[in-house]
Amino acid sequence: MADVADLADRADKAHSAHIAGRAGAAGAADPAFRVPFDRAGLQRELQAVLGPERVRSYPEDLIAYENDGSVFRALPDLVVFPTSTEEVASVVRVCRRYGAPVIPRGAGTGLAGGTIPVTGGVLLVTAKMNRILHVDLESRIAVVQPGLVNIDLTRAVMGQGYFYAPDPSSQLACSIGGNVANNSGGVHTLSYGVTTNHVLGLTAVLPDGEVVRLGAAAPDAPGLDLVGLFVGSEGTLGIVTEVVVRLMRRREAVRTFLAVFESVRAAGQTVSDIIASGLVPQALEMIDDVTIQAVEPAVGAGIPMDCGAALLIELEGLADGFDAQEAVIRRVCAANGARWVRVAEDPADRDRLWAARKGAFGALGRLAPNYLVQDAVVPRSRLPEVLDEIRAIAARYGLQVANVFHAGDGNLHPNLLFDVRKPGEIQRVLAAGEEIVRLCIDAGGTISGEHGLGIEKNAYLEWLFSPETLDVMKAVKTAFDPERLMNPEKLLPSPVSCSEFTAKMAPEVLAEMGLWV
Amino acid sequence: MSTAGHPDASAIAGILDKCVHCGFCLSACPTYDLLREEPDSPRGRIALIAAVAEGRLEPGDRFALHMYRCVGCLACETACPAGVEYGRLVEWARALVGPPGGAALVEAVAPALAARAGSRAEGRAEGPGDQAQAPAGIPAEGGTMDDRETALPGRVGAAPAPSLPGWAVQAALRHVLPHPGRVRAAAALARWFSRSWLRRQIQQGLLAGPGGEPPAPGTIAASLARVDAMLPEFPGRFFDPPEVLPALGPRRYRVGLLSGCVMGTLFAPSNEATVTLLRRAGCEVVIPRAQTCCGALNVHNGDPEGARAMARRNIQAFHPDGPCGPLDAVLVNAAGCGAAMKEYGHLLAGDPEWAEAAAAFAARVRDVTEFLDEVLPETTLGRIEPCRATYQDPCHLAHGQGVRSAPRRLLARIEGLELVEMPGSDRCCGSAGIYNLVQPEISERMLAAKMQAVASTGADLVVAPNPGCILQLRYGAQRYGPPVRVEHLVDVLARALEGSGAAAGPGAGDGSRSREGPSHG
Repeated sequence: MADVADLADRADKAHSAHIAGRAGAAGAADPAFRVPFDRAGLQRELQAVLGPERVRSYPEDLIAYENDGSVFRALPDLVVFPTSTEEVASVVRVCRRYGAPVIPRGAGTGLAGGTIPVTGGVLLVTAKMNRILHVDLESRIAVVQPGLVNIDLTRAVMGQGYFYAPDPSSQLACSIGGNVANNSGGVHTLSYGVTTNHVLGLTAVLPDGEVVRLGAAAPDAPGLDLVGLFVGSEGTLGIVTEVVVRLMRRREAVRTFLAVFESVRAAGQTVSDIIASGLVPQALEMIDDVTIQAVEPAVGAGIPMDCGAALLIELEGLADGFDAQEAVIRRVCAANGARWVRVAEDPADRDRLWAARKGAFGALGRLAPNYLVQDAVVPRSRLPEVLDEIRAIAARYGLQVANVFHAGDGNLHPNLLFDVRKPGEIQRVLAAGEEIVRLCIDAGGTISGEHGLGIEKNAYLEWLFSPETLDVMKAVKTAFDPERLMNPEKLLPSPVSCSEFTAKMAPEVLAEMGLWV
Repeated sequence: MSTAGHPDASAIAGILDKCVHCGFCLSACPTYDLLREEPDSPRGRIALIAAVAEGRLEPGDRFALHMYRCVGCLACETACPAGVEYGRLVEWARALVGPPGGAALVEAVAPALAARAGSRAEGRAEGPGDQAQAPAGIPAEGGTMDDRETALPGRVGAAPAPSLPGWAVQAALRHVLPHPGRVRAAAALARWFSRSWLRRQIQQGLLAGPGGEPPAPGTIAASLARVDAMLPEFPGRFFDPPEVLPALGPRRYRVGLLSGCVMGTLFAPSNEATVTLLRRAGCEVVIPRAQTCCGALNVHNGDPEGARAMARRNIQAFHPDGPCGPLDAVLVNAAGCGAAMKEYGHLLAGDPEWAEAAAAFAARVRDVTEFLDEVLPETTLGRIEPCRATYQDPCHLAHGQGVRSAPRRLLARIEGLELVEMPGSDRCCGSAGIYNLVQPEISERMLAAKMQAVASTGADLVVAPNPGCILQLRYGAQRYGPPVRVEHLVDVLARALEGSGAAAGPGAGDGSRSREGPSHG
């Protein structure tokens, strides 16, 4: 382990130098985190690689890319659009020569700020790398580019009776590359697992511009599981340019239930009881009363606006077993005082129910201009009490909380609603968020199920892991990216975490970033 | 620029607040689908509009370019879980930058200028601040779409064509559309030209090479050839009905009808079919002469003031206290016009004198398919020659007015017509008002994709209750195939009722009804 300690030590030193260098060179007019480099020179060289039209620096381009699905924003210096592994490698090599950070971005639907260019640098957008390169239904695999939209893969093979299992709520928009970066789950994670369970191999460009192929088209490749390492690394170890994914056979039948409860606690207890009964539905999702105020007007799924919570429960498989399973579901719901339980009448009805769940984050815009979503996972047996406590925390901070989450996994998504323009509100939200994270860790849970850590939760890693464990992580990062140019300051604990960063989002700071043109 | 924000921003602040940039709109957006760049997506445009509203961004040519690249199909509003009224944001932005011209023109001439400027591109790419202050910034980067050919299979060498010049758009918006007489004069001129010796001379002398081959892509001749191919067939006479037409049989309703600019000229036979259908459904149909264009093109192209003036005239023309008398509904058979008229309440909300009347008017506006679906008896609507039909949802009917099932229900009640859904039936065909003229290249690519979707159904008839879609799809059938007929829903319905042996009402069924089959070039 001496090497690990050494690597970790080098990482810390490099990091300190990095931050110091920035502060020194950037001067007073630049926020401390931005990395200085010769932008004009870099732009010329990148244009030589990609042509002028796929290297952008107009204010309109930079502003359109300063956001993702999170509450954070920062302007990139340049935005580039490669279309192949070779182009990505060339861009990375040029950027490395200039000492410029490279921030990979797929569809920009992430919720933890993983694609926010907090250090400045080059935003490498994979949206134009959206081709399906190869489909082999006999072997049930597909090879896709990272910018492919998640749902488009399923749409391409559903006619033949196949689908791609990970289905994040944002699957209409999010990219497979982004799913790989965050090891995304979805509403059917309960039975099908998360992204890492469906990725067999990767082609990746490492921070030095080398192209590597990891894993294989067949499962269980020998050697160190570098695919497992890359999946969930949030673009901090390199940029994935091709993904070999597993396809699954569409199930014979599906039955979807909507169960309506008077309280979040009763719905939470139902989830615990269903799992305890031995039944594992393919999906088990909760939408609470606050969230229903946002989604029901948006979708019209028929969820009563005056109820306390709703559960979406889905069975997939052989139709033969459904009636017995339905009996269990109805019994448990009734025992917990469900107002009623109904089965989706037809595919359109089912789609509406799922639209209510999957559109929930966006629909929160109806209730407040901003939300901060947590992603903690707690043991399912603790769900009811943790949900109660989350509400109590929000109330203490004078905030409204909207819960919509993967109840079957115990993967919570409490959304703290706020208005970023109200003085002091973001600070209260961050403080409440921290308390919620603490609560979940104390309940035996973890800090993120699927959204990634980005710049929002990277600081919390220190609450979860020992310094020794973190050293191993830092050593891995340094082994891949000794110069810390690949999506820097994300995932691992860093001075750039949300509270520090948001403090620098004040208008006068943005003005100094050259934005007020 | 002050950091206090844009002075007009209060009008849209509430809408901007709703957007949490979740990105659900991206997959619904036709321009993002093709270009795959955030500034050409709804979320990206909202970010730019927010930056302008906050006073962080000057609304210059580059901003205008992205605002006018939006087709305005409103599919993003359907997709948005937060209910962001995106269309109003873009209307605000377009009013801010004015009618298209500057930006569209820049885009159109940029490739040529960039080629001429050659390597002078250097030094233009410094900081964002520098660029924004650069005059007009003819972009060597940005703008064009070199690298996207792979994204869309079946792209048929669409030449980048110079777009409609800005002065022409502005002249049309401000000096032609508000005057029905001028609209007709312009249509008559176009009809004369379309049949003239002059057109044939141009076709033979200018638009074809010595061996009859098409002009080289990117040339002015290629652009003219495109416009020539888009020039539709004109009917023998324009729509010129009496102001009041009695119901055929007992009167059940009294309805007003918007004549429409394109519907009243190019689609005069469809207007006549509409009148016939309504009269047979027991409607007394009132078509006030005092009405004018609905103003949709003005709203969508940065001229809200012009649109307001037109809205006031229409509200007056159809006012229950005026010569028109009380009406059960004001009907429209052009989706774009209907969507705009349903928005009159919003358009005139800031005008205390008109706000109430505008809201009352908007509440009475219905698309003719909505109305017919309600009032026609729940039985078969007649019979037509056996055909396989597919339905194109006009954007401003499906996304703008939320009308999707009524037209389908009407079609399903016609014997002999088999309705086959095409994938993405509510994806824009690229017509989008004048978009196919001001953004020719993107429009062509959207049309090519649409025609592939049509081909996948094996349909021989496409039904689209909106004139812009019909013209665009007819042009698409010629250019990309398959050789389908494209018709307005009212024409199919009228033919079906004739086919069932029922007597057609007066004002229909004469010479002008003999629709030319679309030419399959």
